[in-house]
Amino acid sequence: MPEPVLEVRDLKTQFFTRDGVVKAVDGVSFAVHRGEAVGLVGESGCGKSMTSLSVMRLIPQPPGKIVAGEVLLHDEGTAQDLLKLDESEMQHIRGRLLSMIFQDPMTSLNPVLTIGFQLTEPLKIHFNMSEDDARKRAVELLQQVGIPAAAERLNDYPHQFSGGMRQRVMVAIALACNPKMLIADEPTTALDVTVQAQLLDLIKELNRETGTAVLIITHDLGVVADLCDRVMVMYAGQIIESGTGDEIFDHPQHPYTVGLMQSVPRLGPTVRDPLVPIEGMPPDLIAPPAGCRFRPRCPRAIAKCIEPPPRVFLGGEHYSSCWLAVEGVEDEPALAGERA
Amino acid sequence: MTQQTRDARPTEAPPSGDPILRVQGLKKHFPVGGGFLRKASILKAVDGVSFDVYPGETFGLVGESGCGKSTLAQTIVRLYEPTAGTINFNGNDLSALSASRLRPHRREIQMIFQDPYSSLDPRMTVGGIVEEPLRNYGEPDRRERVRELLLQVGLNAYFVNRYPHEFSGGQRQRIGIARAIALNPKLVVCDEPVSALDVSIQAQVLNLLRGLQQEKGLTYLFIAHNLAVVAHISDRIGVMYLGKMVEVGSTKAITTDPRHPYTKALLSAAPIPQRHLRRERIILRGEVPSPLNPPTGCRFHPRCPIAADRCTQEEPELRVVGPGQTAACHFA
Repeated sequence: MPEPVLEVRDLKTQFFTRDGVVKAVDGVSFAVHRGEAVGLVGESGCGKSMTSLSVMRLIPQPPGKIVAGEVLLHDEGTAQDLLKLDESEMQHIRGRLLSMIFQDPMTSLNPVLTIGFQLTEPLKIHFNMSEDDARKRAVELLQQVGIPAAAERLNDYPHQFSGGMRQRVMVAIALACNPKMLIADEPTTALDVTVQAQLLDLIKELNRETGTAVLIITHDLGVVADLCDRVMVMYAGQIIESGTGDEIFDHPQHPYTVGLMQSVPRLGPTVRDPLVPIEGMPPDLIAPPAGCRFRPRCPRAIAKCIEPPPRVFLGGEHYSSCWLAVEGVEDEPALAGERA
Repeated sequence: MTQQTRDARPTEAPPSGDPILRVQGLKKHFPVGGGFLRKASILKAVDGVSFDVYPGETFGLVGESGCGKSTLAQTIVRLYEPTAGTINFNGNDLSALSASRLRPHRREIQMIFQDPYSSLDPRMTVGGIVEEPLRNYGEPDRRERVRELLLQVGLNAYFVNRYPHEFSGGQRQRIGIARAIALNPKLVVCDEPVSALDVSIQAQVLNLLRGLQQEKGLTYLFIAHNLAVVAHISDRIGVMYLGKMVEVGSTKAITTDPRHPYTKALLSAAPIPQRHLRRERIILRGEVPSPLNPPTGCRFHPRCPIAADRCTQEEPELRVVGPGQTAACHFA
């Protein structure tokens, strides 16, 4: 395994609201290595975007606060904890070592500045490039992400680009300074499927060619299936299962991962087979259920699930936080009262 | 929750009998811009679409944003006035009826909307929302019916006095469904009913729709951009591109033997969590052109991997390419 680029250790991010403390990210740990594409999957409100914003130090404060943990960014043999940096130090990191692409390219590009300005800005700030050099590099970048007539388009404004093209521009800006790590938060959710396929291909290609580590945050298991080497599944603020793509898609262990797979219609001969939905709704993160947070919805919950489940390794890097994965735990069903 | 299923395999034979809905040559054009002494340009959102829907089936309409699928749905229920064409429902041409003559037919066609947040009046109680169609048509025993309807869609009957903001997206969509089925309609037009929902909730709502269809013998026109979702619920599928129907066939035909290059691309681009099912990936060039100024000839030709000279000039008609399968491509 190549060296890690990003290591997140026991990250906890909370929001202090009138109704109580929302534990949006509650003890998340993972690592992304050089050249790797990793997917972080989960449904709305599971904390996946808050995890990425915490890593970028973009949590709105107040009401949010990163209350514990470490976010180590490795660069040339040294590691620094991003959570210990002040804002000016962080600005030196963002866009240079660590970049991010957001869901909506219309709101993340500045509508009153040309694409050329927005593309050359990071180059001038981080590398002290001259205007001419920066524009040359900007044309190269636009060509790299597949924008035709790149040199002419530098003077265009975001509204003159289509949705897919805007997202390509976002990728070009994110990659301008050859970052070690690219975080893409729902990069294709706003795009049509045929354009989504183009963009995912582009990200995969850049990941292979430049060795930039990629963390994709998405609710769509299908996006992750095609793109990622490793997949982490998040539920109610915690990573509940993690493994290679094949392990997660072909041998999921956690009942929530299994439930997600069974909820999605599949193309092929089984397309009309009934779906098996996960009953109920995700818990309130102000007062999450004790023990395993999936317990109230879990079809296989046992009495033991009232205690926090351990992280159980199932061979290689595949792990699941579930009592059922522990050898020798008796599969006695929980009492009705305990499940509700 | 209802979990029984009908025959999971899609039927291959084309349906027989009379269609409940026959749409022929339907067009909906919108004038855009223009003003004093300045001619407006015409946006051809739906530009000559014909298809049949048979009783008891689910007909799926799939396509990307801007293909006209939602405009088509809203024109069929006469939320928009059609520019041309006929909408034949149970032997009556809805496109020609006046508002008062349309009213008795309206109760037979109901609609479920995409956004469960904006399609429910925030100042009405859940009971009031579900009761409204019953009140409009002077139905008796309304309170009892509302309770029954809420139970049928998997909600608690004591929710009647609550307001929409107290509910999650999935529950709101259930309220919208209860309202849609309140008058026992024959046809329900579902416009992206699950695309705003998380996958685990999406599956609950899809199962609910299927269960209600079996119980009540409903016919669905189901519109979505997600091919896997459409294929899951539909017996037959129509694929739209830039205001035109480009292919129609059974779910099996469309998902295993698509003939139009656009259908093939859509199928290959569908993100599905099946790693063993590695498909031949067709990556289309460019994006959907503007419907204000559609390409000449076949509208798909600028993005088509197999386009020839003929395609830039001559517009292909839908023609039969298999049992119950039609495609609008010179090379299908």
